[in-house]
Amino acid sequence: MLGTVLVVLVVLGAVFAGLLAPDPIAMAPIDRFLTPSMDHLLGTDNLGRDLFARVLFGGRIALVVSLGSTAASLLLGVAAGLVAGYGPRWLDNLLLLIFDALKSFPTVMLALALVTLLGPSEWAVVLVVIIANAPSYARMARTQTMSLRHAQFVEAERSLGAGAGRIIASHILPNIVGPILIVASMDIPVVIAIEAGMSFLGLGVRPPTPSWGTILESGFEYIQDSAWAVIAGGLPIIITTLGFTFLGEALRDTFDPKLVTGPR
Amino acid sequence: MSAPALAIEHLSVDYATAAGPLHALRDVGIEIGAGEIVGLVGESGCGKSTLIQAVLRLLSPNARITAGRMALAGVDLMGLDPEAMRKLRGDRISVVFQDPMTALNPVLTIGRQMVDIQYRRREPRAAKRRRAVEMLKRVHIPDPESRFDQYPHEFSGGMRQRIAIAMALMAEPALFIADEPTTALDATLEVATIELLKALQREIGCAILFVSHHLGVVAELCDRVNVMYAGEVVESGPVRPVFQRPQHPYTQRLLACDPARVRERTRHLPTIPGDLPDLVSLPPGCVFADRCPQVFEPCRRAPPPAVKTAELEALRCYLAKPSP
Amino acid sequence: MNPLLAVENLVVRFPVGGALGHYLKGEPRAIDAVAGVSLTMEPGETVAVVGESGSGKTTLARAIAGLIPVAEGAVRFQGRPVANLGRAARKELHREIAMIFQDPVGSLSPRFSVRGLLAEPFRIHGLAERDLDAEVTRLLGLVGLPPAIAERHPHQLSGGQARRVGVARAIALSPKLVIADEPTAGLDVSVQGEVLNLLNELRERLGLSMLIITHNLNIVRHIADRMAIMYLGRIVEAGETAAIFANPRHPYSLALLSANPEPDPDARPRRIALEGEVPSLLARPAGCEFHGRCPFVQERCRNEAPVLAVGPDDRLVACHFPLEPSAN
Repeated sequence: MLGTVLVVLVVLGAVFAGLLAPDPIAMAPIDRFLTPSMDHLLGTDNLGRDLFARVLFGGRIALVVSLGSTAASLLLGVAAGLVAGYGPRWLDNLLLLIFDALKSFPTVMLALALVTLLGPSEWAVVLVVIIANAPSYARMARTQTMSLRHAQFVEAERSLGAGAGRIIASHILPNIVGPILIVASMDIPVVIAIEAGMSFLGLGVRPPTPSWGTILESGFEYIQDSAWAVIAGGLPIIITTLGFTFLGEALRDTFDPKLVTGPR
Repeated sequence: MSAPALAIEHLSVDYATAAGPLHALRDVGIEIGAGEIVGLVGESGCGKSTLIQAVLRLLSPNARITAGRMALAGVDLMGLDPEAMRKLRGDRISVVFQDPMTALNPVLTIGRQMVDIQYRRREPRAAKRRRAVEMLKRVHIPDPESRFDQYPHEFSGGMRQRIAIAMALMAEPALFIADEPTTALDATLEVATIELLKALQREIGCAILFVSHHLGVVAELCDRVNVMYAGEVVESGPVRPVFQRPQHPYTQRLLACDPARVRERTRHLPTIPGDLPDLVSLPPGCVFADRCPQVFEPCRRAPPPAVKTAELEALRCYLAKPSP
Repeated sequence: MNPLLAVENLVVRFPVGGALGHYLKGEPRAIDAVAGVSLTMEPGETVAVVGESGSGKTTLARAIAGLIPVAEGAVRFQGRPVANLGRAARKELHREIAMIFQDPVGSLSPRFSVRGLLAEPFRIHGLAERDLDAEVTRLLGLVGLPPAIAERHPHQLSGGQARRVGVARAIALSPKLVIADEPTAGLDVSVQGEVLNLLNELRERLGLSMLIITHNLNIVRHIADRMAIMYLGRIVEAGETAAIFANPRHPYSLALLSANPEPDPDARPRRIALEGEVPSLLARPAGCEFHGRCPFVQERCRNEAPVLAVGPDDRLVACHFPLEPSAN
């Protein structure tokens, strides 16, 4: 319940950022480091920009990048896992090799390497997330597929003449997707942290675009002058992380098969 | 006269469901004397599993015992706290379930498992090992000394079931519950396992509650039998009268349906038409009324009480002729 | 006139373990789950294949249905060879040979409604232009299920209902041969009769031929004209059902038939108790593969494998010393 509330708040804040807050990029050097007031709910940063606005607009980046890259990871990962689990042995071995190779890259080094190639941007973040997460989803999908491959209902479908495509799409995918979605929703806080972290290090979103990571970056630089930027950058990360974590756990509990609703 | 191994009186269990309480067991009474073998016969939905879970006090979180008493060798089971109940399980009551594939821990050798479950005894390991090997011999596992260190997957299904029985009986419990122990086994293995159970029971002298829907096996193994339908014990007594002269229409139909009994080839095997009643909103009268070929007027008004007849301990049917 | 089904010396082989097992332990690289089976069926017949775990009966059924590849031998359906077909030809075959699987609920895809499950055979074979709703209603009627059941999902069905849905799926495209793997498994005694009565009725109405795989001898008597008993991947006895029940000639048949306790406490079981367990397929015994457990074993049995030979009244037996009627 709490998780849903927190997530909804964050989403609403991001969606209605334009209505709720002033321009996040407008600089007003005179108004640097103001403490919170009615005009500036979270104060201003080192360039006089309204922090509350930057937080809300930063939320857009966080949500779009995290949800988008998670969706992409799921798509690629689950598809690869299905193929690996149902296809011939050699294909499985090949794909496993690829998954394991990708997973063994430390995320930070991967981020640095990609940014060197592509330059810092949101797309670098997306790519890092996909490479970091898709292999895990692929492995989960593969394992589930392999166990369902020999299920009696799959054999029954084969005996009716169903081909591999139909079986994978209609009979295996719907039955494996649940737990993977739950894991993905619990990964979202991690993804948000990746985005914030990369932006913080200057590898992701570039100023003046507001991102919670860049807010934190300039906040730390000027922490002697005002702590509000650090608070403004850190607080939303904490709230969103908690929100998605609680939500994911609640989802997991809802689907827990141990909660029996009658005699077994 | 020692206390009966198991005495259940007027036991009722409800499950909480979205549609209201589901009355899984209603006024169930079962008695197993020390050293007796008693059968429990019934089909899906009769409440067998709920009954076993109730005796073991391992009911699901949404189940509640709404009435009744249970006593194991004189000890009141309902009054025990969870710790005391845990001590009883595996020691005074032990269970073997249907599936020999999943009864054993696949990552431990069977020897290790058999020694581990003797944790209550304060003996040196070597003595426990000896007892375990001895038990394996008694259940006819060939080469027990060397097979002691093998893993469950290295044994066939029939052997795994025998090992599970060995583990259950090693503690020499007062009550041994066998829940469909032979249903997953082939016919030739099934009869071998039944012979084994008979022999072991003679040696150890425990009481057995044998739950099965294989009527033939129950007839051969048990001294007395309880027939359950939709949460009630409808007929109960020594095996001979129940199997040879069944009084309850359900028992009669059940026995008639058993293809083993139908000697002549036929296109139309007997069946019991209809379905189980809804256990959430029970019919006002006898629970079998809708499917009973001999239903008459009083059957729909109120559930028949359990009466004692000349040959039977309990019969729930308005056709019953109570013993004087 | 071709028999409907002719199986000739069929061998189905499964690779076992890795190369390491072969070199280190001297284990064989493969087991023959079906080790040379021959069998014929005429149109309209019902034949039962009986055996215990490890007998190969289920593997045989899958091989005939085209679900697994065949190592040696041939399967001919209406005269055409049908083993190891390519994908397109195999799909055609699945219209003519249908299979009903053992687990009534587990053989139905959990997320599909009954309607979806029954419509699927038509969709798979490109027949979706037919009025699928009408077909679904027709099939439900044929198996005696109420139309309302079409909206339910497999976990909402009882064992008997799920079993009927399985039957309906199998007959959807009007196959010539239906293979039923343990049709009464998982069903209560009081509903077993329903399935068997249904299969008998459908056989007559639709002119089906049926191959029943089971370890339950009690039902074989009521549904099969002929039966074959398998042990370790081979047929040990085959013939008319009633005749085998009255006078089994192979000792294993006798043991199987006697391992059937009757629900009568006074029936003294005249039982043949078999020693030991079914040998592993990795270590097939020499000579007659049953000799290690046979209560009537003799010297010749240990050294020489018997051949499945035709005896009087068309009975096939693979035994050096088949039992005489007086032995029962």
